[in-house]
Amino acid sequence: MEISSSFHEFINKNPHVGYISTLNKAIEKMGLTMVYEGKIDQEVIKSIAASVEKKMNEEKENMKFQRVIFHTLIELLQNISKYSDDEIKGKGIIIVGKAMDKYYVSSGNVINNDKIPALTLLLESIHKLDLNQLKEQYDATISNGMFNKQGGAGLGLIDIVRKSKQKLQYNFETLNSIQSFYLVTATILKEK
Amino acid sequence: MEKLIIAPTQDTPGIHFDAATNVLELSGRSYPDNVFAFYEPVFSWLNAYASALNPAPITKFIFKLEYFNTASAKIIFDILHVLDRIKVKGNEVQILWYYKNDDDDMKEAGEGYKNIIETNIEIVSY
Repeated sequence: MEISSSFHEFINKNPHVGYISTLNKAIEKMGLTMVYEGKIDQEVIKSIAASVEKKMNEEKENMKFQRVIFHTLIELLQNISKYSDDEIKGKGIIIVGKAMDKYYVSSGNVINNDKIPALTLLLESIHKLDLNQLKEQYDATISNGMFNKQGGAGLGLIDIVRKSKQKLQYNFETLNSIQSFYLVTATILKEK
Repeated sequence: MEKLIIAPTQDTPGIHFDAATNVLELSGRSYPDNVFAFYEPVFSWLNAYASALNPAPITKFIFKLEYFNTASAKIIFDILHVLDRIKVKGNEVQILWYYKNDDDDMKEAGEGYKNIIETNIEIVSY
């Protein structure tokens, strides 16, 4: 009794709980399939991948559509786990949303401000490319040694745009003089 | 030469390399946490195999992947590069790239490698 009453007090007083219930309502309203916030490591990635895959199977989504969503999800999750500059290594948020004829995959994480110019340049340069040029850029990145142990040279983002055939939405919300919150959303359309 | 056999998992592929039959197969899903660490023994084995080849029968390399992430895409390129070196040394290498018959992206990936590495890859549906 003691524990449950203090637990209740805790929930009652904790402002985050209100946030969770707002988020839950948003999930219902927006048709979100999955929301995860926290440290993202390979074990978390595997479990999110399996759960989203199961859900897509249950909803009998077309296989090609499923594959592009799955790939986008893996690439964005691995980007968070490798590049998040959060105090907690690999911390970030991933949201999978479903609308009538499309899925959205959003990822967010803390990033050091000094990385923003290069990342912006990369995203802008990807968005200037047509499908053939994206393929050329993809081929060049895997064959010219730019992809190495230091990083993927944007190959994940290039491939998401190439496979989804849609531009990414992104923005950087300044947190302080050192860090910002980087949010990127990929859209995957169901083929008619 | 010892065989290299690694059982597939949810995020790592199955590896079955046999120097006795000269059949080397990579199958399943590949999106490991650290591709360079996972594939390190694969490259060690392949390089040892390449140097041990002594006017050899045909080496058959089978790719039968269901899914690979972009980091693995880079690794696949590197594997093809090693196979190409075996070829340059005058050994015959047959490369088979399998894709599920409804998986156009996997088919295109095989065709893409065929173009960038300029090697003969047989693209086969199953």
